[in-house]
Amino acid sequence: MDWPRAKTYLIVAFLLLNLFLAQPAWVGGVDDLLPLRALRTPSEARVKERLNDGGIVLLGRIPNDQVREMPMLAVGFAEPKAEALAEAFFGRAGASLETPEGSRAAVYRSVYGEILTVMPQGIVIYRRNLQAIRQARPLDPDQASREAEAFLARLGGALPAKVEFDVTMPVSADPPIYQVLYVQKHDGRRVFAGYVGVEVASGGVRSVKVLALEPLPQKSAARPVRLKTAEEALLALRKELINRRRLLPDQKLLVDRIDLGYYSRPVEWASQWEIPPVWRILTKDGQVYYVNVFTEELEGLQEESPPPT
Amino acid sequence: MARRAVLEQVKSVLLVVLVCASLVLSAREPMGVAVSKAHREMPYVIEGNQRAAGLSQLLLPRRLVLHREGRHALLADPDSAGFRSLWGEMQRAALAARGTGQVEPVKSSEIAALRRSRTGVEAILPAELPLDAWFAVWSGRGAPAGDGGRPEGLDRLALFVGGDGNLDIYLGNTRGWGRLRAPGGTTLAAALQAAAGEAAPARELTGGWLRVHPEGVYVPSFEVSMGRLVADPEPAVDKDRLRDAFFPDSTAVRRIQSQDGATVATDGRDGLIVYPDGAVAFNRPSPRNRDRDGGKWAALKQAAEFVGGHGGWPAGARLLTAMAVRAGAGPGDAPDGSKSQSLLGYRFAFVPGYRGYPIVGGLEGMRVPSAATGVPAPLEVFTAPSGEVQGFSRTVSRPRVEQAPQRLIYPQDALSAIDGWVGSKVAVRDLFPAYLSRRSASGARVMQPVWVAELADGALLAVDGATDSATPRVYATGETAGRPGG
Repeated sequence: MDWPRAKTYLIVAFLLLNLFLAQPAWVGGVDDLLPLRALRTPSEARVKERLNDGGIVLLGRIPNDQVREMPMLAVGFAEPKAEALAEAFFGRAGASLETPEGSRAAVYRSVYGEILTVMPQGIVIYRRNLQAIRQARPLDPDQASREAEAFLARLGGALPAKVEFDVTMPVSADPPIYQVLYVQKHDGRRVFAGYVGVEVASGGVRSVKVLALEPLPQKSAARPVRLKTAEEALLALRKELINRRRLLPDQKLLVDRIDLGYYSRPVEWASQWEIPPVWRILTKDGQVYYVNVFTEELEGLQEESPPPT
Repeated sequence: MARRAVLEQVKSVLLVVLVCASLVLSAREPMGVAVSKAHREMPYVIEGNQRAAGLSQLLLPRRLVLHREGRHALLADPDSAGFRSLWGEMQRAALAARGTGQVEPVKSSEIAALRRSRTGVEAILPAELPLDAWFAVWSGRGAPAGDGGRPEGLDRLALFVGGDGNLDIYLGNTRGWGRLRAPGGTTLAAALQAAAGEAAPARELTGGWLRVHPEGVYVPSFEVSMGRLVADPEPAVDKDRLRDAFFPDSTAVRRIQSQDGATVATDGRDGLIVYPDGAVAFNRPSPRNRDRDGGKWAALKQAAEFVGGHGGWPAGARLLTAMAVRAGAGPGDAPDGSKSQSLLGYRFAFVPGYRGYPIVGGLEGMRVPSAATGVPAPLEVFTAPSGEVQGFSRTVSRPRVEQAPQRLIYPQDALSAIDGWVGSKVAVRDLFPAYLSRRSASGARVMQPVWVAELADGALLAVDGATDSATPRVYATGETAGRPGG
């Protein structure tokens, strides 16, 4: 066999094949050469510079999420166990049970005036008598986080969902009150829609709100799609805030951090539903926004975001 | 020799690089952006339905009224061979007269006199559409582009045989009549005679204290007997395929399973609900296409195409009403034809039939903006002015068992029953026997005989036709039971 000649023919053939395969990239632009733009990792400084030009100051870091695909996440409400929760919050025989007529909620009251409400839609709300936490002392975010952590540790595994620490946000400066937020995780991704929010004041934990979701098996495989990058999400949010007259066109949007996860409002009448991947954006003024990674649309206004009060 | 060996080594390395590059580029295609751009139309037709319904079938007249030189009028049964033959003859005559001369204006009183004194036939069309659109439908040459050319609307067509054996063709709409002349009186007379053998006596309704359509509302003058029907839902609907028909790019579509069994799909802008019995409701709050008004005819064509690809057409479906919806008004066209109020879009109601009677009734959730209350149709479409579909509901079921026929109340009694629902300013545009499809108290779907009154503002009121009570029940809304969230 004439190997040198065969190699020459093969080189020509593969050259032509590669030209054919690469042709869409010439038409669609260099971006399309990569499977997903989220795979690009331009330098953080360059991205922040571009954001700054677009009227956004990002104080935190750009996530280095190399996301190929994120399907919708199917969830249902996790069923809280009311009795076990009451025992975890108040100890044995530490609370009386009241069930309002016509309601499916169980309401427990402790002798100290604490109230625990357990609802079938994965919702648990604990409130502590404000009189018991009158004693004021200085409080900073780290202290608030530690107090929340210790409070949840005492509950053991009674909460209907496993959560991980996410962020501590100020609720009020005077008196100092912080919201310590824990979120559920699924396949390593944060599920912002399922959370435990612990509100800590200078006298201690004053409320806990839980929305527990149960991730369900995925029915269909994820379709590959170009996800919106963090940069695109931030620019889309700024545009939307200007459209809604929440930001002046010449005003900078100050952003504390941006994270990838799942979020949608709970659907009370549903037995199960799908929640989309989102970029969650925390702004300097304490607002929370969720930008859909497929459509760039806001998944609810900041008033609908999880922080409970 | 050494140079040749080096060259061969370079070629080998180059070949390996090219092979690797081709593997990378090949792997990119199935998982790359090209896939996400594939937003293909994926029409879905439910078993037993049809993808396309011919416009000539959808736009059949509601009824043909046979006028017979002073004798009482007759109503041709829409399911009869005589109806089809006579309607075919009318279309041929109208087409032959097209372009033969100017349309002369004619007074309504002249038409009223002709009805009493001449032999002829009058077609009551389902909606006012441009004249050229009707001609295109009747000629079977496809529809004209845009809004059908000449703007003159047509919702009644009357043919009278003249003394010279020729035909006088009268084109009517809410604003008056025009006349054309054509040969062909002999063939029409023959078709009339054939249809009359199968037709039933009719009379012109007088409203008494209620106003009725000035061109006459014709109802059967004999006792109408209809049996209550028990109906089945459509065969199992493939919810995934149906959803894909509404959302060609399903990537961003989320599904919600409600506790009552309904499935909701939304991409954050459009919403689709599929109920356990196969009923469907689709809503697009904001149109994507904000182009200028394309006209009712263009919107009707888009609506018909949409219905065919999103569940399909049940057998024998027809257009019942087509209305322009204006801001701050009911869905009806302004009586004087003015367009002073801004146009929100067009609403089309399509109905399947059973033994020649239309079946009305449907979901309440899909009402169009500013629409008057009333009974919805099993297939309702609301389009933006551009023709883009913004709302769609489908509640189709199949009659299974017919119970023993009962005599319907007299039409005059049906009019009396709706007296309290109709203000003195709103005229009754039409009154006809029909079936009202609804869920009974036991949850089973039934189709009960009713009289349906169509008001000038587009609302449909259904009067329980099989009761002799002094105050028969009036239905003025659609179904709401079982809707998620509400």
